[in-house]
Amino acid sequence: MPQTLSASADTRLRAGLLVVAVAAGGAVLVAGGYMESSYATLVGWVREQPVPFSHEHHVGRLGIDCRYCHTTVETSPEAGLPATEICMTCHSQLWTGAPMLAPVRESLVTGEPLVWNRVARVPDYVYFNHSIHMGRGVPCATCHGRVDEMPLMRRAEPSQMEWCLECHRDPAPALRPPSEVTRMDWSGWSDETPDRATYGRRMVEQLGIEPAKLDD
Amino acid sequence: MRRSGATPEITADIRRRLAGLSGRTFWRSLDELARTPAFHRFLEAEFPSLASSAGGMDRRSMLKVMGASLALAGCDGEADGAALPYVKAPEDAVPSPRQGR
Repeated sequence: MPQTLSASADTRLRAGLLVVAVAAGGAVLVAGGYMESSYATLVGWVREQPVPFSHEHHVGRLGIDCRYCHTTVETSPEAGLPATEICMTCHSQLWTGAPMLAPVRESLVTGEPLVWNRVARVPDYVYFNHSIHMGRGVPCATCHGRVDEMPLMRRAEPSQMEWCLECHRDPAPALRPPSEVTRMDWSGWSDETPDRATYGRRMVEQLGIEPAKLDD
Repeated sequence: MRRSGATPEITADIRRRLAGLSGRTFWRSLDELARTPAFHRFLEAEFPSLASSAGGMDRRSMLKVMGASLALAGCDGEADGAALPYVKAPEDAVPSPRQGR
């Protein structure tokens, strides 16, 4: 009776198993890499908008406070987008004929809202509340990035659970005076005085924030 | 069910249909195979839920499509919705959670 398996069968089986293992491992790495990449997290991507609104111009150069347009950020879970009337507060006087602003004028005339495309968004199962973060002194820029340097709005941080937990496990370094939450540039803030270096820790104590309850 | 089957015309029709066929072709009854308009009318009247599947999508294709849609549902990522602010905001309106999502 001839041999069922050739002499090289064992080698081929081993090589085959190795290829399968490498392919499976590779697939996991590729999937993981994709989920971390900006293709999945959408960090840094700009979306098409009805009006090419520039935060760089309005916040960075004109110095308009975030709350002038995002009116309910301190009182509601939703920061709120400016009503057409808020845009027209200034633009009924400035750039009144600009073709770029035609959709805004049209919205005011017809009563149809502007349709913006959301840039920063957390998944539906997250019950994020803007007002409490404002009240405790988490600056806008922590999550939304330096919008004063964004000609077109883009997502600054990945809305992933890990990213939320980073802060929620140790909130002290993220806390700033609530009166200054809309400030954009915080570089070197905590190094300026020894008082500020311990600010976060003192506030955690004073406000009764219990990190153990923030990430459960 | 009225035995509308084996009339000579239908039998001949069935033979004609089967003549060119090979492989796995499924039918529940000779009547369904015949697909006469009369049978279709009967099926529609008696079993409306079956009537649509008799000609269109069968159970297997349905399961395939369901499986595919379930599998692809995970590939969607986050559908970033549109945001529609007020034109003229009501005084003291505070957006509640999930409103307008």
